[in-house]
Amino acid sequence: MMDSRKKADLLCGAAVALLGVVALSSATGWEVGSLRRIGPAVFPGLVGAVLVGLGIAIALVDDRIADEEAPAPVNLRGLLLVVAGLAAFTMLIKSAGLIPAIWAAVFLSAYADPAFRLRDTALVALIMSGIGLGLFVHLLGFQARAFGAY
Amino acid sequence: MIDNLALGFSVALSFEGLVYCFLGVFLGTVIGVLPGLGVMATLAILMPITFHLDTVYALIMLSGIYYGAAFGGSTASILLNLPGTANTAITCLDGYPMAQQGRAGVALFMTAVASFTGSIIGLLILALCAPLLAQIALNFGSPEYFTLMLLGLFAAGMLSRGSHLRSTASIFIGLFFGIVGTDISTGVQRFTLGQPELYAGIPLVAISLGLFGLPEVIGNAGRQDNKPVTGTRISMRSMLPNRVDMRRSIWPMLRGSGIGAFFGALPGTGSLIASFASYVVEKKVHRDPSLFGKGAIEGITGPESANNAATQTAFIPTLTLGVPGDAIMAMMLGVMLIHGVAPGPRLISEQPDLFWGLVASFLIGNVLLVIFNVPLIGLWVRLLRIPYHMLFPAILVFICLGVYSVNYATLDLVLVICFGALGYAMTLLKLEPAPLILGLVLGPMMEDNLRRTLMIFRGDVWAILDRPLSLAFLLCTLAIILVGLIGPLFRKSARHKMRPKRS
Repeated sequence: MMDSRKKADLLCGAAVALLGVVALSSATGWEVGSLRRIGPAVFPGLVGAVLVGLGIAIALVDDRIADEEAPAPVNLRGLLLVVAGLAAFTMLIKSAGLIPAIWAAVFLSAYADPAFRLRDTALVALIMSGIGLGLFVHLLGFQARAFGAY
Repeated sequence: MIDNLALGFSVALSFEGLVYCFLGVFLGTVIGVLPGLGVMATLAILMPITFHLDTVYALIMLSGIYYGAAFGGSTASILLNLPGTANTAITCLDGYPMAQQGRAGVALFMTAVASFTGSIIGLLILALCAPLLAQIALNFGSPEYFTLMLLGLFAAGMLSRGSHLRSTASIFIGLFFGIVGTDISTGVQRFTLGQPELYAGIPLVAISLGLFGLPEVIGNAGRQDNKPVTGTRISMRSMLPNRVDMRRSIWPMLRGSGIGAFFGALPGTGSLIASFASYVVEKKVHRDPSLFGKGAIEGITGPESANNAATQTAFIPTLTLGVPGDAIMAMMLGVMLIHGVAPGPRLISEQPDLFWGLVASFLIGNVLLVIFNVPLIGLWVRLLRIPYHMLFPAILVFICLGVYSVNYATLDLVLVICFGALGYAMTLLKLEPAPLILGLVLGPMMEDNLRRTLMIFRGDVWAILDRPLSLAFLLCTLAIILVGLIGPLFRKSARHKMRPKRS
């Protein structure tokens, strides 16, 4: 039977080695050049080879210190809503303007906290709108309009 | 020397120099005091803003955040038993018991004294050693640089705490992402996926915000506010240590500073290892080791000195060789490169205003930090009550505005999400994301130096063994790899011997 630690080592080793294989296989598409004038394939090839070696070593050798910190509980709600806030900002900043983008990012991410407080969140959005317009747009020349496409 | 210092102070004491130094150490203290806000994330968030500043002021501010956080990190360790930054975890061991014994004020005061002592000793070593090292490094050619960077990479991987193989793997993943972009000598596009935004490589801001900024926001979402610090109105009088406290701290502070200065300058090790080493040493040399963990003042003053000395000397390899020792220094180096400054042995002689301006501002910054951490300590104790539910959406907006302001490219925002996902996957696989930055920054420089090395040697790889320094660096690298691989086996057998005793 395989304990969870061994399984994690195998998975990690496989992922690292896979990245090495990606580097190696891409390198075959580039020029190798000569030793005197190495081409763009050489360095990625070396990095890929070391990654494959490290991946194998991670899978086989257990060099972790015992009793390391327990795996942190996954805060899935936080993860999804914060990323949603970032994605909303990405979509709105060019098309709708700075203020809608900031309010969307603040409100979506604030829902990541189970104890969502409307008044506090609106206050944060208001303050950040002020900072966005005052510091970024006005002082730093940030290219965006408060409302509307830039 | 006097001329140089005068030049440095003329930069650091200028209006802008003072303002950015103040801002840096102020912000550094804020994030140092607050658990859950880290240095890497803060540097990443502020990096885009510093692109609008002069290089000197940008570095003055970013460094201020770094050493300010090291200085202020002990406050939460002492008052809440929660480290404000990872480096001050060790201060919880004896700092919190002191607070429980009603000696929180003394602990806070003595950590400020210890931090200041460590910083000043580290700073002196930086000011004295960096120019000397730069003199030696002036003779370095590409072969020396390539082998030195190799040594730096493997040292960072193999000397880290935790799994050496995994840290090294993380660094090499960074080297992999460093490949992305246009090959400088042939113009071949590598891994650019047809995106013009990637032709110049992956933007450092996007990758560091994805790896460090985003997880910080997620981690603070739904975080419980810190519990109020009970019964402590820290008055000036309660902070004054008695003579015994002072006497017991002098040697630990000096030893800690030495240990910190050493580990800080060494590639791969840093303030975390330094503070642990100092704690172990103090416990060993103390006549009654059983006092440790119950509020021994040596257990906070030694590690705090080490922590702060290490943050100062960490600048030595970065500023003199252009080879950063850890991820934070790699970010500083990245900022310098973005500003068009090539750090290396010529930096001190060609841009003395930059180097000496930084040194002078570190001195001013540390004096400011003493003022922040002794008379104004009450301010930070109140800051611990900050509502986290209002903080994290604000940080998210700063991340969005910052990353978008660099190129006004929505792809950069998408990259933040992608690298956030990568960092998350790495954490699940127990790969630490921080060393990745080191590889990312060093990768392109290493490839360039490798190419030039082979050009100098006309394709003869073995000629590198004829250069004594290169050979020495290579041998050190080999030794570190061997020790790193054999070490765990020894540890394991030692662990097996220990086990029956414990159970």
